[in-house]
Amino acid sequence: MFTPMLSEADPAESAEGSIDPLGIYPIADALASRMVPGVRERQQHPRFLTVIAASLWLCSTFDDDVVADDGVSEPWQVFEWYVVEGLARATNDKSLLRGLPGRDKADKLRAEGVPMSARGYLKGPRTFGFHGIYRALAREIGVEQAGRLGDAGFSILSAWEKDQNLEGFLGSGDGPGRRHRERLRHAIADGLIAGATARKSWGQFFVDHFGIYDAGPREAEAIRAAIVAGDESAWVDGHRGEIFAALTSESGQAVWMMQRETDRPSERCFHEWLIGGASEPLRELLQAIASYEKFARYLQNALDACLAFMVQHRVRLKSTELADLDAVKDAAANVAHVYPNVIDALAPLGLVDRFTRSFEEFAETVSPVGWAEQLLAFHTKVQSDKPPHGKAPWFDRFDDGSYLIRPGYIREYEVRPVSEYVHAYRTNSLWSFADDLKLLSGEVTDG
Amino acid sequence: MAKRKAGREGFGKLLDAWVPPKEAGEPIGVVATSFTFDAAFFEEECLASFLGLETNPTDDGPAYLIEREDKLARLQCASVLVDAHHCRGTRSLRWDLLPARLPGIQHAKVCLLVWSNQVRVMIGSANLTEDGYRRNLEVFGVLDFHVGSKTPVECLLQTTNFLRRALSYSVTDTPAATRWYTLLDRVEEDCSSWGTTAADRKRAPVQVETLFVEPAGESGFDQLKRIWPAGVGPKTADIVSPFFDPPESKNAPVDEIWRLLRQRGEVVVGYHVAGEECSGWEELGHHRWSLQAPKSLCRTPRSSATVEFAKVSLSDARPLHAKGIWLQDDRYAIYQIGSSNFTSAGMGIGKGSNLEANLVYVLDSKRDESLFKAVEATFPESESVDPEDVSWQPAANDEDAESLSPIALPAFFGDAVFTLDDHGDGAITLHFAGGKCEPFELLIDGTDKVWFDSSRLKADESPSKQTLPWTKTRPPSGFDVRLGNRDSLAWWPVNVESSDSLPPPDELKNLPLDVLLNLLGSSRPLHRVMADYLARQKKSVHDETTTAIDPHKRVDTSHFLLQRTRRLSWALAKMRLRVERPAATIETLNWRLHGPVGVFALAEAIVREARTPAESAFLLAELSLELSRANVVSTTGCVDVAIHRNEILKLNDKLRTLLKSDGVEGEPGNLQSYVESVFDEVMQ
Repeated sequence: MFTPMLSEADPAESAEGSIDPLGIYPIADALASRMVPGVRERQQHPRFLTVIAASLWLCSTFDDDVVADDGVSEPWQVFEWYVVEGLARATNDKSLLRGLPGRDKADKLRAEGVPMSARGYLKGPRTFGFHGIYRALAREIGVEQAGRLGDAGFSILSAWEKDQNLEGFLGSGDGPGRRHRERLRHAIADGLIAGATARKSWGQFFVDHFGIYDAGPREAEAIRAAIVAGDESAWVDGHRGEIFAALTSESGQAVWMMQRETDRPSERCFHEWLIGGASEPLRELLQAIASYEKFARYLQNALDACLAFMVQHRVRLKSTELADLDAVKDAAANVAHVYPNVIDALAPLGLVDRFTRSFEEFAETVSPVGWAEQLLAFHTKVQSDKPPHGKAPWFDRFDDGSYLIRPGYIREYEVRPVSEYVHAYRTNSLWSFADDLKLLSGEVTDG
Repeated sequence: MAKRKAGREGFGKLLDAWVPPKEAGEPIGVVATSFTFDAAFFEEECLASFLGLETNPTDDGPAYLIEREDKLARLQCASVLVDAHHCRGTRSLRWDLLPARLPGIQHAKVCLLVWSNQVRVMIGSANLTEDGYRRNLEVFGVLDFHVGSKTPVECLLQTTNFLRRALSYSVTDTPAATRWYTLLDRVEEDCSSWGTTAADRKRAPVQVETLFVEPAGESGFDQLKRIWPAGVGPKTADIVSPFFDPPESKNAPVDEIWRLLRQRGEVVVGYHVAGEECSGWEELGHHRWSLQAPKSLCRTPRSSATVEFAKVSLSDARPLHAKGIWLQDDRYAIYQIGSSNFTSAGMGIGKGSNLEANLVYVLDSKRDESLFKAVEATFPESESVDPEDVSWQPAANDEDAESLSPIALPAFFGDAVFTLDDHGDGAITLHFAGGKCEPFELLIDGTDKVWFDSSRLKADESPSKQTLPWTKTRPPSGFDVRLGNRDSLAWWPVNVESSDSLPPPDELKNLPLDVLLNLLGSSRPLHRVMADYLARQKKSVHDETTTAIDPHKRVDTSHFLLQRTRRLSWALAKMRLRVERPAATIETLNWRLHGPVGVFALAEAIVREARTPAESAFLLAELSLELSRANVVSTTGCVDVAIHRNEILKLNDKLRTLLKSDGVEGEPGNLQSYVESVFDEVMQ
């Protein structure tokens, strides 16, 4: 680093919902979690559930309290390093690495000839590594139970060892898998001592047995069954099975395929189709989503229109000028009417209190000018409530009541049709799951 | 014009420079300077990288607060000096925020990162803001110093000296300033042999020097002239800068750069600036190019002097914020990078000079051409522009002292210091300089509530110092200051008297003995064990239900004598190992001994939860005995063994005070004599 450097653009990595200027994400997330518990928008490849099951089984022999020499990395983390490094190193067709978190880091470390460790791996690996991304689903469907391999995990891993001809990996019996199990456990133990991956001689092992697109038939079926059935001890009863079955049905595929051919696939359209054959609880949930998303869209559009206008002019603007924007006028005229509908729709789900506490400002009809000021003040409050000490708003407000966009937020903002959802409700993830598990008929592209 | 090199070589992420290098050791402290500043970004990204935090505030909530507290509390100093106009922001009081006031502006961007085995100096053009670090095109240099490093140690010592002088533009007689100076002292004392001296590197192909611009100091141009290695001046100069002197000014830096080049023969100055190619220029009869530069740059001193222009290629609409001057002849080149814009204030000519920090790389193409080219590649890529076809549209210079919109806190407002007394009551001491000040109000952050104002100050007999109780749970990180009838608010940052003055996060207050034993007995990081504990607490209702079903969970054996004794013995042994481990800073040792999960907290929990005074006395004696067995060994760069042992001894003395006066009355006499003998023994 002795020579000077130019700075590389470094956009922030963020977990879902962390950028939410109006605080509308938490309720959408709560609705999505009720509908498909454990599924997150970032999840795309269900075979990570098998890898997590293997991880739980391999790490079960280590003490709960064990950490690597670096003082932070637990056995499962060391196993994750091996998997990511092993896949990145030995996969010839790089398209098969799409969706592997940490792949770029692995490539960089390999180029430098440095083993994978906490230092070189992802920042925030517990959130952004594959264990972090898929942990919620693994727990929800019983791949993991109380920190150990759960029933669903056992089923998936049993199916996997049969498909892979690696019997003996699971359980205490003999078989070709036993040797690999022991080898992996020793590698994890060595990795804990070294605080980094300590073995390289894996050849094609990870690619052959843990390639993220290559679930075998028994394993795929076990994963599907786990996703559809869920875990009996789970806290929330969702509709994962019902939606997954509908989506992978012939007509469901046709509906979603049609959406995928557009620039912006509409989950509202899919939900409108889904509601026709939905059970009563799912129907209620879908209605709540539709209603809440309409409310959220008015708010989001109005804010985006204001920001776009500020970006366009880059001078101090009065609320009277912002109130002239169509999206602001639309929102000012309609939000107060939508508000009671959202309350009605959320009532059966017990989310009314949360909604009213968050958005009571928007219950009354006010003039466009007043509404624009209210919206921008609301954004400021949402930002200031963000942990740990609050964040600055995206624009500065001056005491003469004018607003000026802050330089960091000069970018493109787009007003979308009112019918378009603001948030995603996991259809993309479920579709990608179905694709990976080879449950789709006809030609589909990878998720 | 020489600079046409493109490609990704020579690029790096600024935040990566905050990540501890391998073998860097324990974090000791950081001091930094910036012009604009984003407190949240600094805390959540820069400091988090420096400390190796693995949690983040959005996803991890309390675990983040615990990890941040745990790691920040061990630092000797974390402090940022920011130009008074931009010195604001809500933050953790575990790090200091200091305003710099000077006739120009505090524009230097220096970071001094100190670990136990390595010191890193980072000097560049990027402010400590999200835009600076993530979006803008910036330039920076990183110099690492450790045992055996080849980096010129003069750069380190000159930088620490500069940081001392920089702080003189702030309040200097405060606890925060003392922390700043103490860290610099430590670096100068411990690290002055970490690097090479001038004699060691006479023939090095790349040398590096510092170039600081200060009010009443040597100008940047004079320093460049001094650093230039050849007998005659350079032939070409290439300048990259986002800002220049205003179009109506005489633009003195233009004359200075011509003076720096050789005075005979052909010479070229190239300006590399932000701009754009205007769409439809041919049809509309416009100039083809719009450049963010004043036309006064076109001035040349003689016919053999040529000026050229180029538009810097900026991908993804990244704003240009890098600043640099590249001087070259047939053999040598020097490349200045850092905070100095190509302005009079930035280069230290004329009145109202800024505080600026730069590095100058001195290159000899005959010694190592490939290295020469590697450095050359770090000059921003640009596209040649015909000056006859340019519309001159200089960008508004928001880095100019006269065009600043935020209000700077006047020098009348000295230091605001938060303290915590022995009873845990908070107070804030406000220091006011003499002289007049317009009427003011101090508002509690984020509210319109007036906490103090000028009328109360006038009514008091000692107007230079006011100590006021602070009754809210968390101390404030600053106050909004309303001056007179002005609309905008200034910001008065609050710093702490010492790291002991801060209450721990709520999650770490008065932890039960059971939890402390788990924490002390675990090898896992504190925040993870705590996160598990907090998650268990949250799910306790659910757990109760499952306990009723699971027969194995129906019997709680954790309170059985054998179990408790075993856990306690294990935790005490682990605690001793933790205490005797070398501590990189006295703050680390204090945190281990007196922090919310330290030895004294354990002793208090024992006293709180013991079933009888005899049990309490016995366990305290055991704790004291275990503590006395700590085998502290001398380690370079760590707290002196004598001091370390003395702190343990003092703690043992303090533990004795926890014995109840009626102590073990009514209990077996042999227990009483055992406890007394233990404490007598350990104090010897």
